[in-house]
Amino acid sequence: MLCAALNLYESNEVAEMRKSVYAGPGYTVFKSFIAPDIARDLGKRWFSGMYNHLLHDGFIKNQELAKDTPSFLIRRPNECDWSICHQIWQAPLDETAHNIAMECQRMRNLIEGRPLYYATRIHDSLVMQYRLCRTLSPGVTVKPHADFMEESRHDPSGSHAFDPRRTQMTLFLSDYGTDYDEGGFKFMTNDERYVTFGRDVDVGAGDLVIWKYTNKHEVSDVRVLNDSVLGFSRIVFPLFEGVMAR
Amino acid sequence: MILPPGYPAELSDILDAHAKDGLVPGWYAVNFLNLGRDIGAAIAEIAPEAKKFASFGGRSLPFLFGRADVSSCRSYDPRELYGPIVRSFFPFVQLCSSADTVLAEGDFDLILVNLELGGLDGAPDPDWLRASCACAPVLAYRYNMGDASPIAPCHDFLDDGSVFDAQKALSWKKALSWKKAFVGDKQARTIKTVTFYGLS
Repeated sequence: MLCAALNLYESNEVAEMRKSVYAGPGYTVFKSFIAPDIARDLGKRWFSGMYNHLLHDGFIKNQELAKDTPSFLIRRPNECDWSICHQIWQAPLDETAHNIAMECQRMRNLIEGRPLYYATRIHDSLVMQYRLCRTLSPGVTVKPHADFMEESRHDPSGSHAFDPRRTQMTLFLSDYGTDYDEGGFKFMTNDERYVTFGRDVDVGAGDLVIWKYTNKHEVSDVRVLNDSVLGFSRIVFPLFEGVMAR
Repeated sequence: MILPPGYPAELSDILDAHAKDGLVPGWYAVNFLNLGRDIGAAIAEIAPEAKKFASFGGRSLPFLFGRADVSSCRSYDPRELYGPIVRSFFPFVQLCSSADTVLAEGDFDLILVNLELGGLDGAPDPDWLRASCACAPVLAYRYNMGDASPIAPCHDFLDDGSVFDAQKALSWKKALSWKKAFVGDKQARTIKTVTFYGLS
């Protein structure tokens, strides 16, 4: 089975995950959400560059994301750091990645208490993009910030009014200690401690972390190991507002 | 819970209580503090002397917090998870079930109804609501998050993860907006429906 989440959870399991996000450390880890080899293969497939010809190679502003926006590739902050952005409402370029993204969103919807397929349909008030991200650069690649905490945004994906319900997900496609070390995804817990996933929390390729979006987070200090093409690779799942109207 | 600058500290405790009891600390919990003044104005317009309140769905209760003139309040809420929240913040509230209660003339001065809760399992059936809403003036309200779809806001407010039944929701709304039930007979009462616009 591709995804362990194909079976709906018992409500008490969802309740425990929800408590972990909102009243526990601020995150919940779903181990082996997909098989580790599927996760790593997915990363290698896209980060080898063999399918870049299918992508619009250039930055598209969050505020300009529209119904007909194709999949696109962002190279930021450096040329080697890629974000490959697929829209969930478009015909998939990669069926595996698309199905995985759909299952991840179902998990988030269960935890946030939303309808099961919310944000996967173009008519929903928020719609999802899934971004395969690879960081190879050292230093700070995603500055420390918190979402939906009324921080100003140069290019917002929608309203950033305070919304403690909101969660983000990170599906890991590479392994700390094998592909990268030192830094990576750093997250401030609900009791205001910083943890680095992979180093302080047992997380590796195929594991899904659902975390509270209003807590501070960053990506920094990645050191690539073994000339890995993956470095720190993951999928994140931003939601966009107002796409239907554009 | 960590709050953005400028938010009242008491909100943190309320959000924590939601999370501890397994509810999603969502938009509603944040914004009742912001909407309190609007709700208060609507109550003053419909029933300025009101002292006895009923809340269908439970979410109106926070708007009564701090009102010195509340002599009694009953909450009709089908959701088990909501009970601990209500008890921890509003100990004066009597929790009731629509299954074994028949509302009578004079029981209440004002009935508060949150229209988003129509699709919950165990929500009062339309006949009970129609009969009950004839007993007192009604303030029925909903929030508008900017959605074009009439159903989408209902989805957004199921913050305990309850199963949503669109058909039930629609039939409940239909019952509430059926003017004959409130206006067309000798016992005509006031029903006011209000849409409050949220911050998001």
